[in-house]
Amino acid sequence: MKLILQFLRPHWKLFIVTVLLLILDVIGALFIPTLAAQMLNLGTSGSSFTTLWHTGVQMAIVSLISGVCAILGGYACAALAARVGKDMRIAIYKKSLKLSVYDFRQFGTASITTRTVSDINTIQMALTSTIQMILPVPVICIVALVLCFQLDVEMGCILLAVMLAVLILAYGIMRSAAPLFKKLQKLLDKMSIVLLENITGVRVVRAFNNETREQKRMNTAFSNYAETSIKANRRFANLDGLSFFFINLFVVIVYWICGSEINTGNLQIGDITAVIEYALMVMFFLMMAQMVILTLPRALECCDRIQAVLTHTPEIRDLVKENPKEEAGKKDAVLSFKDVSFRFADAEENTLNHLNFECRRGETTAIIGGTGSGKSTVASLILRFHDVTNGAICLNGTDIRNMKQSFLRDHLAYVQQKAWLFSGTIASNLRYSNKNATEKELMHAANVAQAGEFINSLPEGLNSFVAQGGTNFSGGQKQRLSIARALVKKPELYIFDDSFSALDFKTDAALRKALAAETKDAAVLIIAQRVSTIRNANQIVVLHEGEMAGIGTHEELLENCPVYREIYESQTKEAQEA
Amino acid sequence: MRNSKKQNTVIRLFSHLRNQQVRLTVVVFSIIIYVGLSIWNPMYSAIVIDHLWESIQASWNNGTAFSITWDNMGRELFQLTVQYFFTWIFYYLQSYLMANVAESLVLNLREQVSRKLNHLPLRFFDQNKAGEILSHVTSDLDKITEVMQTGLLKLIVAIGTIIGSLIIMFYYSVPLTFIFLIFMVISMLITKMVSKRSLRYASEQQETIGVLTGIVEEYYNGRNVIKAYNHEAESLKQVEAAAEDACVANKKVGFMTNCVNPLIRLLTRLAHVVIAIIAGRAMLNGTMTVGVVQAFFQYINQTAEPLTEASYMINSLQAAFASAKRIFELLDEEEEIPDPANPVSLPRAKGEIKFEHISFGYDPAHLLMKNISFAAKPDKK
Repeated sequence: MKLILQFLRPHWKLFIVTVLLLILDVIGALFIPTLAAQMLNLGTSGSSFTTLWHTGVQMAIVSLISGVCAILGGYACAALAARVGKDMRIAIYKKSLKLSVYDFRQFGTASITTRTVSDINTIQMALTSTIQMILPVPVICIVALVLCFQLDVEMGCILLAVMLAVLILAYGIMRSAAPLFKKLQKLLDKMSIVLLENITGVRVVRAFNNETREQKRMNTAFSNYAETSIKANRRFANLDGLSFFFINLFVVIVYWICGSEINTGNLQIGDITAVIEYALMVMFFLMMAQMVILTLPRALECCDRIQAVLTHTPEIRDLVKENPKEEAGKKDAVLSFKDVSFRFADAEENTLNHLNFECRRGETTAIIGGTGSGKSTVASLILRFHDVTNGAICLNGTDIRNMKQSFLRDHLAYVQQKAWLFSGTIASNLRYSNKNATEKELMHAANVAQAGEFINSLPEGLNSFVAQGGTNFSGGQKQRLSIARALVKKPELYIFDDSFSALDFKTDAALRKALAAETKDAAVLIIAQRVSTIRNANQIVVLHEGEMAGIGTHEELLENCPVYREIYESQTKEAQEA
Repeated sequence: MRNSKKQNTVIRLFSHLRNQQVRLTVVVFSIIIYVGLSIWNPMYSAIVIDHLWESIQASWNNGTAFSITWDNMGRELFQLTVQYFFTWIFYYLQSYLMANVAESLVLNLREQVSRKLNHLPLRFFDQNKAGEILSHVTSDLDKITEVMQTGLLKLIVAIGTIIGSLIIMFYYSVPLTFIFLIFMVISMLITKMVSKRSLRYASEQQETIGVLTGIVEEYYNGRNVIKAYNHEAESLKQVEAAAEDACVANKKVGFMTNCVNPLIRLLTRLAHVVIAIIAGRAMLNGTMTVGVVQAFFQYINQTAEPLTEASYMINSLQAAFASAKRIFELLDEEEEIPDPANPVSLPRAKGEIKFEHISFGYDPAHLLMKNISFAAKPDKK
């Protein structure tokens, strides 16, 4: 609720205009039966035709004004909902940029995409129906009562009584139906989940011969849903029919009472029609409002979901406003890990313990370890996708928490394990870090990354189309393009997180040779699983279960580090066996 | 060809209702009575009002006070109450039962689909996106439920009410009914024009939402790269542009949707005005009574809304049949090769598998394996 108000506030003028237009429409709508009744009165009391004609013209004018207001109100309402939706979408995306990897994972890509697109859609529809169907209701009730009381006090009282009766009835039935609708939504979700599992996991189901069991599961979900749906709809049928009946009862009472009133001259015969029209209109709007109210819980849930993202305090924030000054004489150590330990927020143990090493300019540092040793986390920490739990990481001597995230990342180039390209062209992807890079620079980077050959073989070359995620290229091609993208940046530190895994042996070797020449003025950090990739590094850090098991050159480690020896031997044995 | 196919879907859909015949008969019965009463009620109220008016005028003339007793108006009012009561009962009954009928039908279809999913060849799951299959089973079936439950009922009741009301209206006054029909035709033409525009805007909206979803999904998936390369501001600009496009399309669609009802109401009211003026003159001339005029207005109210909603109702019905057609297509898909009637049972399988001259391709035109033969013996890797 608060969310909607927050987003309505910038458009408050439009909101007021919309509401006013709709109220005018509604008042006009009530005025018309009044005039129609007048016509009937005139008709039965034998007045002249001209008076009748005048009343008719009045009716026509009121109808036109009311109609125009309604149409303009409809336009204003649509514009309002569209703008609120747009603002919300932008706000969510903006917020998502501030979230850390951990924050984001808590929501999940699919969930946040749904929230950005379809949840907001639901909210927009609910907003439109609320403004059009619910807001006018109090106005209608009051105006109808006023008009009715004007005609005859007794009639007014009866209308009030019937209105209250219908309101109470509606309230009662809604209270009993609302939890049912909530349950229904959950059952629908459950049904979707079971179905999706069966569809995407069909191979597993068949392989394990579990068709009957899955079928039973699906059928149970279906019948639960059907049962609850029937129950909910029955409640609805109740409300609908009963209100219907009440209003008709009211009509009979009107006839009953009006009889004597007409006799005494308090009422005229045409007024009966007016009173009945007011009652019908009130009833109609109450019914519509109640239908809209039933759809609100779902919209409110969407609001909650969006609110959850917008109010989430991001884990990683810029702690300073200014960046440290760039020193004149560049330090030798670009990046240093000083007794760094790290634990994930929801983990019981540390993923990394007491890491101490430096990445120096012009040198290649490698990190090697088995699965689960915590290697990839090192890259995340350097990029400040997570903050260290203990110790500090320093860039050119300054703790990375004492600089803006943008400053830090300007100095780094990161090639992740699973390459990701953006839709566009190869050139637009390579220019990602530098819009003004020339084609010569792009091709140079591509050549170093061993991608130049296949780019030149494409008919469009650098302007070839890239699909979302780069799916129209092979794994190896994607990786080489990601590496080229990093090379264009020319940073102080390159981080290659297991980026050579999709390359065959020959390409891997050629790439590393070209890379060595290209990056000789920067520091390079290679994270890998295979010894063959890193054996020529200036410094190798061996990670085992999150701790440094050894540090040194390949020869030194073979001698002094049992863990490294084990890794080396198991990999060579693998090569021999295969 | 297309029409007969559609007919087949309709017939097939209704054949599923065969086992609910008792309920359906009661529903049909309720509908008939309900419609009948809806048509009769205003007529009777005309009689009541006229009688009321006459009694009052008689009392005026006689100089006596007017009061309602059983003989004087009481009986008529009581009958009216009873009529309204029964109208309600049958309305309730038909809604209640139809809800059951619809859900049972759809439950039946869902179970058939779940059984089918377990017998479809893997080829089907490879060729069709999971999301699409899911949407068929959930939202297509939901559409069918909705239409079966309320839409169909409303349509049938509307048709009955419209026909009956029009007959009575013609009986009361031919010229007035014609005027009413002219206004109705105009409003139906307007609805058609608006819905054509509306469809165009709707597909524009679908496109912009598609683009927005694509961009947003891509950026969410690649957010690590965006962050690592400090591309946040640039990506935000793209999202803003896409959101703006969606906003514009959204506004257009919303407007079309919101302006239909006001337009129709406007026309109905103008019809009211014209008819009121003419009826008023008739009342002054004594050719129409008060009761008849107010009954006529009741009939207008009863008829105008369903008439203009008719096209919308028919669209919903068509959408539901389209959904049903998709479901039946799914149910008609070729099943996997069934297990042989007398399978050989292997009480203790040794674990030896032989491939003898196997050729295979996901697409028979592009074979991946050509004449492969090998054996995997137990105890060997």
